[in-house]
Amino acid sequence: MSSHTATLRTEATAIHSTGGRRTSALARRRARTGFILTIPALILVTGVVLVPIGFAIWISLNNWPLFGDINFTGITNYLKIFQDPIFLQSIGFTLLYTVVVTPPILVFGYLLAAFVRSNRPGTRIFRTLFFLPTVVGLTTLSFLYYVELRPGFGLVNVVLGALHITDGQTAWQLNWVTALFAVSALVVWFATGTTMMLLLGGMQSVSAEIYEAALIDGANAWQRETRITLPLIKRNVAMALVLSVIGSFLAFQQFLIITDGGPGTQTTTIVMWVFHKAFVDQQVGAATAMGVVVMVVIALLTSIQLFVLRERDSQ
Amino acid sequence: MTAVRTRAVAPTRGTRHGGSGANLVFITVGVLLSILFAGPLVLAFIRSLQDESQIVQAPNAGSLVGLSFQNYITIFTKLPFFQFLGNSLLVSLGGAVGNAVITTLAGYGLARFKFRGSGLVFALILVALMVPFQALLTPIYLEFNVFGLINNRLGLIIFYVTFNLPFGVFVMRNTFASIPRELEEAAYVDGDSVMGTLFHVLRPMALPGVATVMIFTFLACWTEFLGAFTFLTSEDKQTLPVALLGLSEGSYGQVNFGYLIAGSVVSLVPCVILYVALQRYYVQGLAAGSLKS
Repeated sequence: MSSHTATLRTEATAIHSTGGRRTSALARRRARTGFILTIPALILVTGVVLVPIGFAIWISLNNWPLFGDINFTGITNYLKIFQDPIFLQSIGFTLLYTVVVTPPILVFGYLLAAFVRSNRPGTRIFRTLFFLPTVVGLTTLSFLYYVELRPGFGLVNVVLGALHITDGQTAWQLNWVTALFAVSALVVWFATGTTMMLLLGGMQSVSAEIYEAALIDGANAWQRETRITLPLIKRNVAMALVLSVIGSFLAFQQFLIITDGGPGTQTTTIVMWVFHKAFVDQQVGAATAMGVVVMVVIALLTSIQLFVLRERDSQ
Repeated sequence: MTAVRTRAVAPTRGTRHGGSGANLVFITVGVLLSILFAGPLVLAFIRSLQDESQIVQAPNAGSLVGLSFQNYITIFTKLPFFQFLGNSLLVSLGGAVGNAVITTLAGYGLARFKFRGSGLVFALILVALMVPFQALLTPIYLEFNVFGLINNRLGLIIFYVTFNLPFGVFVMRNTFASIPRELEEAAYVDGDSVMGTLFHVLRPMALPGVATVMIFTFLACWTEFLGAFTFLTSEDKQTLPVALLGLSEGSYGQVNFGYLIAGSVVSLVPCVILYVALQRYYVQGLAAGSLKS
């Protein structure tokens, strides 16, 4: 942000120094126009983001049933939610899920990006096809996967059975470990394309001369990757990492559709439990306190991401 | 913001020592990976043509006999899928157009008009990027309820536009910043107004940015689940993804996998067509849109 304000200031002084009164009157009018153009965006952000943030903090400090009397209870909700065993369990499960899916998404995404960055024949078509799962969206894929996970006829089981890896009768959702594994496999398949595209953007800006020089120096493929490509695209990697972590941390529909949080509540994610608290248990105060906790965590993660991006912009 | 280029690719070592043998290996691996990533979608389409008794049997000699569009016919005639499709189209188009209009104005204002507080305006818009809507479901629900925006497709559109604003503002700000200033100045000298300049002079050059914002927002709304699930409460207003949940939970009687697969294919086909047709714009949006999930 500081570099942004710096450019602002220099342009402002430029306007003031070049002309006399007329220029500055024009500058004032243009400044007003500029502000007016941003008003619709500001109204939406204020109404749907800023006010709800303040409102969320207020709700979280009250005992707030969906219907009925509301009364101020201070930080009681925050104390209570951290004694709620299912909330704690959902945090643990969501973190575990994040840890499970993130490394493969990054590794496979990197490998795919390295695979499609050359201009061999077919590269563009491959890029398009690898990215299709991301475009289709996780919700639709989860419904299709839900059918294909069925024991006996679901294609996941049929294929695993044909390869003699399983007997083809696995009911993945009956055990939280196999359920986690099944959902993670879907998400890795779905999200690898996104990471590929993000890393590809960085790889394409690495100049060919560097690789040529490395080749002349006798560097092998592994060395070129780890000593040249990786250091030069480390900001893209960081961005892809943070995005993957945020996406996993906010997981909702893949578990709702495929496991419905079960068996029991064992595969319930944080966002699922916030939703349940608010709209099933109708304890809006407690649900909102959980939401505030999620918000703080994500804001921290996004700050890291913006910091990384700013670094890149100032390069 | 590095846009991912799909056309002009910097020559890398691939071209240097890639003989035809290496190319053959490359294509083979590429085709196998393509089957891994796109194959399941083709398979889903074939499955959608099977009848229920074929779906619930392991693949056998009769699996591909008598394929028909019966599942599609049923979900569109016996189940309200036209309604769901219409709802999805309405909120997605509404979100895309609304976001394009608002971010065009804001991007133009931020890129071209230096005003005190523009940094603050930009920072406030960034807040929408840093805060996940998942954490604000309850306050937004209560607030929308006051304004009659719950179970209201307009409410969902407002929600979609807001949370897709930040990436759109990035795209449009960069779009306007890359247009030469001289064009606008000439228009001002000719006495054209700000909006006149925007529509007559800048429009052709801003269109790629607008296309990026629209296609990206459309697909984000089309595939969105949690917001639609929370804010639309009656069946007649539901969008496709939420309607599919009803199918998978058996809201329309016994769970029918054929209907569920056919409904999923209905929901994924527009994504594939839009993406393949307008890939360049989509990928440009991804670089900016990757700021959000």
